[in-house]
Amino acid sequence: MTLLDPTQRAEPPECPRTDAVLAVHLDGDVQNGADTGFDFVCGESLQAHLLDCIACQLRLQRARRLDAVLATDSGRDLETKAFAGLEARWFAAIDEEASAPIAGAGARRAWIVAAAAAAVAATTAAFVWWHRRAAPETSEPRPATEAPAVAPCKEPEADEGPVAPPDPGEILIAADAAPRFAEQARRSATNRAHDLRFAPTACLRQRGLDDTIPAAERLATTRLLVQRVAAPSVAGDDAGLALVAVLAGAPDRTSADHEALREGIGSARNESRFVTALLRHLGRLDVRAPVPEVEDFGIVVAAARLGDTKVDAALLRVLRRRPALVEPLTAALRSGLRDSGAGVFLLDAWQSLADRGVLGDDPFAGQTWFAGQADAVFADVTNELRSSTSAPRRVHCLLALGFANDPALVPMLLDRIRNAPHAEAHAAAFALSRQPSHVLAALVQRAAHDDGAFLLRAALARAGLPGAEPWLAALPPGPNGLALLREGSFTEFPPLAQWFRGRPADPSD
Amino acid sequence: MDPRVGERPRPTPPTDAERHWLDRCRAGDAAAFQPLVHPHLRGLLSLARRHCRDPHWAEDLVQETLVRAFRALPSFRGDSALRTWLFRILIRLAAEPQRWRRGATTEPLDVDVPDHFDAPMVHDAMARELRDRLDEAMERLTAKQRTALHLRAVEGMDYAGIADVLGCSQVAARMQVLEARRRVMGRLKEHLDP
Repeated sequence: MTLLDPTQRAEPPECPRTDAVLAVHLDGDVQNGADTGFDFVCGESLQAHLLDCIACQLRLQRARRLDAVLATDSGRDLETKAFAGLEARWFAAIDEEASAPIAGAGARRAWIVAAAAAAVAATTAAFVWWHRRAAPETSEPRPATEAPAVAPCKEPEADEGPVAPPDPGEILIAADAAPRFAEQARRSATNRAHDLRFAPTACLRQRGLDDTIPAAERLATTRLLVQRVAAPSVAGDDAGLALVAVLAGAPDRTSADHEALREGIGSARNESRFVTALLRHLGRLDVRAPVPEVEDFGIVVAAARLGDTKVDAALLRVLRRRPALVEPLTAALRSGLRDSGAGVFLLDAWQSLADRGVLGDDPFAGQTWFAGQADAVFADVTNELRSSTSAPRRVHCLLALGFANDPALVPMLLDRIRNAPHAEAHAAAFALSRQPSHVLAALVQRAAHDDGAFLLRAALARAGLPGAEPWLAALPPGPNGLALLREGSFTEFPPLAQWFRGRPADPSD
Repeated sequence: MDPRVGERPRPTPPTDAERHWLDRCRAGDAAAFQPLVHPHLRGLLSLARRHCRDPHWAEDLVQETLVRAFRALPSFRGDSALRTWLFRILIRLAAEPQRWRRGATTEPLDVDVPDHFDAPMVHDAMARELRDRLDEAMERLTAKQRTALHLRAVEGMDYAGIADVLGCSQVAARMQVLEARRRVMGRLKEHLDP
């Protein structure tokens, strides 16, 4: 016996009774007579026909299987937990609808009142306009007993000048206009947010990234996305990814934008489901090809801004495998949107990659991590410098502070130059050389009068201060050495700094 | 022409339980809406998935259906069953293609490829193949045919109910189901053979 390929099986010819057979055996109501659309309704004859007709047998079998597959594939057997999440989301929307200030009959009443008020206002305005226009210039003076139509203007006092007519170009703003506009904008944002509760996730994502809408509305949109992430669904990643996109790409141009985005990040950080989803995405990044995709950048940026310990650890693992993501990460932190821990995280990441020989200890690496970072980052680094018991860590802290551009750090760096161990003193001098020249200029005299301050002189010479020129003239290496001092890396700095040791602070001595 | 063709179906009134919750809803008890519609949620989601390729859109479609139903509840006369009424709202919303039929199915990108196949694996693969073909075939039906076949095969709805949802006669509803079955079976053929 040969097994035939099912695709090669001969298809039996069509049978005119198949529809009726299907109706009788699948629906069972063909004998009811009315409303069936079939002319013959004899169940017995159909039964007899089915015994003999291969075509009807085959199609009945297929139809039964089709119904079964449709029922199986319907999604009705959705997991109870996932479905409960969906129910929660749906009924939250209904609760919102029920508690909406303008809804149903209330809305109709509001419309009627608003329309009536508008009609009264329009009628009044039209009447006043018509009345003024109809009144001739030479009309009889109004009787003294008639009440004035408008409040009388104040007559000028004797010592006052005439009342100046209003400038037609001047825009008159009522004293309470600002709070009224603010209240109006707030209500408007609230109403729109209410409407958005029912919007598809893709719309929310688009709105969260839209720089043409007010920051408050974007924040409301971000919070809605957080709520959607909180309600588990069969395809819960969608809201999570939309939230990632918003946290990574929302506009951050004005202080209002900044605050809105920061609050949005705070809301996302407090939602454990989002953190879990982000960890999952970072885990996926870990095993992908080393070339980052656009979506990867978004995930890294959102993760870096979140400021969660577990997410930071996952992010470090990603960076170790994919150093190409360092740049978007540091750029993400430059915005200052992360509440805390950015400095420590950057130090950890730098150390972690340096340990593996990626983006080593040269000053350009320090620049990659810390150049242009927010003040809070350097506050973290300063605290870490004070508390750390690891010498390499303190060296990194000092090098990082070179990018702080903060004169308040200079005394601390001077103290480290004088009192810290060898490597840290050199790092402090290297960091000092990056400080603004107007701050360093005040130190030239001090360096010139202290023969022991050779590291300070090296730092000032590296900074290119005019006052440091006499010290450079006495140095042996010539122009190449000077270039190395000015532009060399931190690893090249200590031997160059040694040239300043033992040489007089004042060459004229 | 058969005089029965074109007759609108006799509506199925709401059940007693539905009447109870309906009365409370109409009396202003918004909390009664949840028990009122709860028995029909899975059916709504299932039908929404037949109309939306993206499961997220399906979830959003159900949400929008519920919100619309909640708003329109005061005007629900109870001439037809609540389930029928909800399905009718859903398919009307689903007919707005720019809103609900966008997006593609979200299949996971990372597919684990096993290094061996055994019988359940092969069975799963065949079942997935059948589901894919079925989805494709259902996608090619008209909205009415798709709705009619789904309501009949999945919800087990009688033709009066289907006709009520579709706004047509029972005979027309039956013909929609028959035509849908014929077209889907024509595309699947041997995939449906045992």
